Amino acid sequence: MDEGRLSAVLGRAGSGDADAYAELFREFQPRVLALCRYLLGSFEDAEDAASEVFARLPRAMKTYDAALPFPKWLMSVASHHCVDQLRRRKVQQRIFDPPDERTPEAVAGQASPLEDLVSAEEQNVVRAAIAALPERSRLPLVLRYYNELSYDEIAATLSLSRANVATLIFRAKQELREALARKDRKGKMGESPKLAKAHKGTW
Amino acid sequence: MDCFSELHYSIYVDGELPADERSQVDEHLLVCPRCRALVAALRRESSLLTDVLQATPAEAFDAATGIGSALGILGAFSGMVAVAVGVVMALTWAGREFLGSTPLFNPLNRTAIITVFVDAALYLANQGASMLYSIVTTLSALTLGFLALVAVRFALRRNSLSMGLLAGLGLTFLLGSPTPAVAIEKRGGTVVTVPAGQTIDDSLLATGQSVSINGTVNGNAYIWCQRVVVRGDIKGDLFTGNQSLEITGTVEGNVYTYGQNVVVRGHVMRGLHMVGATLDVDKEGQVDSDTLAYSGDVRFDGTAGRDLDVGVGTLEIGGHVGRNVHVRAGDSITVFAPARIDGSLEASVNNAVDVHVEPGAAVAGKTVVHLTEKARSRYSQPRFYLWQAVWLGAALLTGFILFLLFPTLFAGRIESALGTLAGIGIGLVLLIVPPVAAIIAGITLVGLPLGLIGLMAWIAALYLAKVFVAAVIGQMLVTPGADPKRQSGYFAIALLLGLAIVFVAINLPYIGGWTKFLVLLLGLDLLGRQVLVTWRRGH
Repeated sequence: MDEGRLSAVLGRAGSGDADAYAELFREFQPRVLALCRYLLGSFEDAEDAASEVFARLPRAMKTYDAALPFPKWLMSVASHHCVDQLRRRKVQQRIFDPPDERTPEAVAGQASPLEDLVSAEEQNVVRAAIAALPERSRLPLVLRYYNELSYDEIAATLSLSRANVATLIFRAKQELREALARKDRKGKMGESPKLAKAHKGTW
Repeated sequence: MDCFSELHYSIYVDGELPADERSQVDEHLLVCPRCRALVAALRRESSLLTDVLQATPAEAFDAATGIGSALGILGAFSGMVAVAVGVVMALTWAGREFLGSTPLFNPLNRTAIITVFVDAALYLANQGASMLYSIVTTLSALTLGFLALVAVRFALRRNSLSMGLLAGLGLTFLLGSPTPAVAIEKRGGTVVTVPAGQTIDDSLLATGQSVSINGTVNGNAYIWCQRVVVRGDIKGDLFTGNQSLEITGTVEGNVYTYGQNVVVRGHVMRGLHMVGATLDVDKEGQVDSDTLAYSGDVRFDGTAGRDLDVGVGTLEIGGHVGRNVHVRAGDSITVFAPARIDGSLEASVNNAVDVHVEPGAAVAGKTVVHLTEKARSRYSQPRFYLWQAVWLGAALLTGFILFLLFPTLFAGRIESALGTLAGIGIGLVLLIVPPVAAIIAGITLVGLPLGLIGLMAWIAALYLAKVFVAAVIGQMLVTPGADPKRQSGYFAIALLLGLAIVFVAINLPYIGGWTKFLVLLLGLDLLGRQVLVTWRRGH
């Protein structure tokens, strides 16, 4: 859907046209579902959440500021919805406690950054590894690299400080590298993913 | 200047460092090639993560898992079938190897299984009163064990593996511990002999290759061995599993035997109940009460005080039967010349000529011959398919209605082979414990309604188990589309597919019964887990 068409559809949606919402659903549902799937960690919950996001869209549209790109806004609505769901699950206000600030450093000998995945299969492996990360690592990572939210936006969504977010994202990447390195060692995934060899150990 | 930390570079790459810190990093990167390489690597990592994540419409990884789980379920199913085949073969082999042609241990012999149940029922009828006590004791022990397990479970905070282990240990302990308050003398060894003149005051439990009882046993005798010879006197009952049993002495109680060959030359003062290959009651042999014999050839030249009831095989009567002779499914029946049957002779055979009464033999009552229709294979009967179709329709409808009411009930998955095995174990516990608990609850008057409700829920669960396994299998094979409004449609298709698979699996010749049992256990486990999940969500 190009931008002109999208703004036309949004205009119709704003005036309460049901067909326009159906069109938005067709266009964005897969992306919203994927986000929910990453954030909630289960396909069933993600389906529930995604359909709820679209069910509430007519009301939420009233708060939509046309200056913002619609996809970004919709994804932030969806991530807020998911984070609310997670909060409700946990009862406590915070989804998780802020990370321990004292040990954010990479330990010598840890896996290096992930680079250059070529095949779709390798991508699937990484995707699966992300989906398998614990919530406290998965959420910041997905909000950052799927939603491309800034640290401040992530901090607001998750009720954390900006410094916490930086640490969590950093740790999440390390956990992901380790998880993939473990898999690699087990030889289950052949060549993927390539770990940069130049930086072992010294950082 | 010192290098910055990797965390610092990570924030830098994400474009989240404040301007002043960013320019410090920029300056450092100009002079430090190692950090430059790290930053470049971090950048590539970030863009890789963005690419990987954003290239994911929901279907991408569901398609992947869909195929994966389809293969998984295929694997689990093949595993299940393999296990079933293995068990059947092992049992058949063990039955042949250790017990000759004793059909009890041949799970493929339906007649044998039925007769074992008939025998068990007769045994219950005879021994009901005294058994009630031991049943109550056992059930109470089981309940106590179950309650203890519940307590341990709460202490350990739900860990299904340790639960399964504990359940297994608990059951082993309960079943393995000796029944209290029974005086019993145990004897073992290759050859066990109770010499003539010796008296055992208690019951006797004997195992070995060969057991001879030449003396007296005042209680019951429980004997498990290859060859048993009773020349002396057993005042109680004789329970035995063996290859051959020979009674030349006296058994004052009943004889219950699973054996290949049984010879009676002596005196059984109550009933003789046997499942085995051959029974030979000699001219001197005497059974004062009923003689019940299943599967095999029976030669009866002795005296039967009451009925003679024979299951399958050939029957030859040359002696005296005090009451009726009843042949349930015989190949051939011959009543020889000196024989006398004081009651009637009733036989179910394939052909009328299979029953032959010699001129000199006397049957006081009527001789009734029922001709049995040759059992046709059930697969060749349209009725079978009609009923299966009705069953399938009912299961589909039940499953679908349940899905509309409680969609989360069907969210269970078969995760791995190990999970499947653990599930089968938990399913076994769920199969055994609820009815026992319900019966115990029913014994106390207050718990009666609770027990009845529990029992009904359990029966419903038995029915639903297959539907659940079908739903899970179907959902693994059918990848649901994204449209939330059509989920129930996808579910119906998945359920139909799953039911079809389960139906074929449980109706396979020979292994169908075992597959059915495994499906039942697996379904009970899935159902149990999902009920727990649904209940938790409700709270």
